[in-house]
Amino acid sequence: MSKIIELKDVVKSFGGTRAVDGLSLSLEEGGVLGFLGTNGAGKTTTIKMILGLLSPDEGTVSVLGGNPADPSVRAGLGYLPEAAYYYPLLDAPEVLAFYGRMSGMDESTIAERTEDLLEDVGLAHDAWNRPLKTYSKGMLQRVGIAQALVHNPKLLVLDEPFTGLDPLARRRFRQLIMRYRDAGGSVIFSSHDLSEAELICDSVAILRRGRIVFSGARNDLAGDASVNLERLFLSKLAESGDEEAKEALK
Amino acid sequence: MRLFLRQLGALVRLSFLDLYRRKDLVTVGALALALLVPLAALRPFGVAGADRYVGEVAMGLIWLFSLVIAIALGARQFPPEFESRTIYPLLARPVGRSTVLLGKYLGAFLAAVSATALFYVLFAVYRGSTGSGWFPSVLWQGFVLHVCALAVAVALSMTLSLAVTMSANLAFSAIAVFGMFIWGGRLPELAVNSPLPAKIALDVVYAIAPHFEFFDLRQRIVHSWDCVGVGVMLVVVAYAVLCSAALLSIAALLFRKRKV
Amino acid sequence: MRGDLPVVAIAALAASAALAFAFERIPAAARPRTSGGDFLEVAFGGAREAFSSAMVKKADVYFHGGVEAEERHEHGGRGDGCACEDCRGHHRHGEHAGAEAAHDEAEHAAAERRAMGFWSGPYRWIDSRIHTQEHRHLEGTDSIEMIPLLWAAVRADRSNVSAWSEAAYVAAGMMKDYDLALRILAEGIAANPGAAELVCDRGHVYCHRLHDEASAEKEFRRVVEMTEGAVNEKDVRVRIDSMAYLANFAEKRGDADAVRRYAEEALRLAPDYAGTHGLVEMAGKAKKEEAK
Repeated sequence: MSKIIELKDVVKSFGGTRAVDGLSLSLEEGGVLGFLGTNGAGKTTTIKMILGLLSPDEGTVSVLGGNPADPSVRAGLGYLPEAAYYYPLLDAPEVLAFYGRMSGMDESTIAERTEDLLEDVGLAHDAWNRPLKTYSKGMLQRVGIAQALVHNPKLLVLDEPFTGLDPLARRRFRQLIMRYRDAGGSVIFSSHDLSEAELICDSVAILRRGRIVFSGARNDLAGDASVNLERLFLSKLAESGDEEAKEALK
Repeated sequence: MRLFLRQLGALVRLSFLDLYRRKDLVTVGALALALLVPLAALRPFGVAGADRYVGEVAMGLIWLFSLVIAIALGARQFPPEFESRTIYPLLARPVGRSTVLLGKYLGAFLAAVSATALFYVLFAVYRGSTGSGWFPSVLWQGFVLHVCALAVAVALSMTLSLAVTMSANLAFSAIAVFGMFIWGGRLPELAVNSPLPAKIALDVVYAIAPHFEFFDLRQRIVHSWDCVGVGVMLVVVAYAVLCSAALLSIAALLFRKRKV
Repeated sequence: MRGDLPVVAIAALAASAALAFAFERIPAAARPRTSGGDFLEVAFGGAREAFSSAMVKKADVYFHGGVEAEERHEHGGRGDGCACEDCRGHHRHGEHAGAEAAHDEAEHAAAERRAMGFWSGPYRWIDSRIHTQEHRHLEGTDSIEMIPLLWAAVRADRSNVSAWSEAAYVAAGMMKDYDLALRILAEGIAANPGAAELVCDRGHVYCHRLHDEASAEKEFRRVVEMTEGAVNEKDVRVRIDSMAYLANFAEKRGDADAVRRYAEEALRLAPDYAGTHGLVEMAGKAKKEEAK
């Protein structure tokens, strides 16, 4: 299987601070990678480099076989940002149409995909033609998921995808991810919601202070798929010297 | 090329929807009607038939509203994208930053032009109904130069939106645009009569600030003068293109350096 | 709470209206006083005068086809009531040459700007071609375009006598609408009972436009009564101009004594004034006629 994402010895600094410090990471095609870490660990910076929004100071970033700073590489990327407030005066189909056009889709394809996607993400029909400024957080998140998928990307990059979703919506979204993966798509998502991550990811990368402290298949961690991911997360942080994680494990 | 054009079209469409759904035009239109209808209905000393003053006020309002719309449209292309975090899914698309910049600029510019065109059509209809001629050539010429002014105004406020806060941008853009519009031609006179530091400052402003007064043909339109020569038109249009290009180059640099 | 807002708003409006009616019932003596007259004057003070002056200047700009008047081209002060055909009657007698020279100077300056090459000043080159440098005068019925501005001037400041006078001149001298001119002057005189120049203007309309010498004479006599003992230059000149007309009427009747009296008074009041010279000349002619 080819590597959809490959980061090698990536370093990124802001001023005197190293946000990412010699990070190496990869994701196989068809995989779902949970990208975990405490606040300020460097997850967002890493995601931005995967999206081509930032360039590394050192090391290489390869996404879909190319440099993500190249717009043509990003044609296969779908991104769901954390807590985005999409264009308030547009309705859901218009938002999807906009992003579809920005991805080079033609109008007929956009029209087909829009209805299916809005159904898949569970957005109520009566909300479709209302402006987004009337939407709740959960409804906006559903639109966000839909815009990330509208152009059939090969790689999904999700930042806190479960925010604002009720349990039923979370279940629907998990099923959507699974179907997407089963159809050949790859996913990298960053989340603080370890219980959700536990249910869908098949590999995990744990980040602390810009460095990977664990990376591998979740099953490899303890040899047992039923081990709680939260405990695994805390134990790996504790092993790397995080005092708070050590306290939490007591 | 196809992708590029489709992306530009999507960005332009976004600006149009933004302008027309905000209902700013409705407000502006209502305000204009509230001012102009009573003015046109006046019978000063019981005399009917004078309409040049209505035309002058109408043209003044057209310029005021169109420049305000242009500045506002330019100012809100980027900041809301950053604030609402929609800049990320936008730049995560297969689109370069320069395409995003160009698309947003064209969107704001064309939306401002569409609103202005509407004002000009209404003005022409009014003038035609009062017997001053439906669409005289000088009005067309005035519209073309007005469009040039909008191009520069949008470029200015969009460039500033990438450097300063929204409120600072609106204030500075308004001062620059309206200040030059009203006093631009008089800066040399002011400079001559000023002490040295002020003289230098005024000379610098005169040299580099966009001269919005060059695009103002109200005097000719209202008082039915002849058109400006073709050569002069071309020079002024070229000036507008150069100003806009210079400002957009600065905007491109700022956008490229902007951390997202 | 939101649903209560209309109720609150209506209640507030009703309370304001009730207060306003109640205020009306307070005797005038008990109300707060200001030094001003009507509401506009109290509210806007000196801004009204400034606005009125600006409207008069704007009317001048309209007369010149939208071109701002050059400083050197500014007309002299009003006060003579001259209904000059060529230059809107702004000029005192004998100043026509000066005004023409000022016109020529402005045209010359405009021509200089037009002749300037692009490379010697690209911005000025553009400006001189975008904004009309020549000027032309509104004529005939097109002069109606100045009326709204002058109307605004007198509405803003009813004591702006020159604005009333100018409006009357536009109506009579340019639009040839003498009824309108008389209506304007009647309104102006009612607002400014002491404005002798407006009465003088009315005399001009009767004399030159309507050829009604009897009515004109009445007006000029009234001016002479109003300006009895006048000391300021403007009133003196109006007086002398009116006396010139009265002298003219007296001459036609063969009353040389009256002509002489007017000439003597003019010499006493303003020996260097052009109108005085005219009167003196008239008195000399009348004397010769009498001698014959």
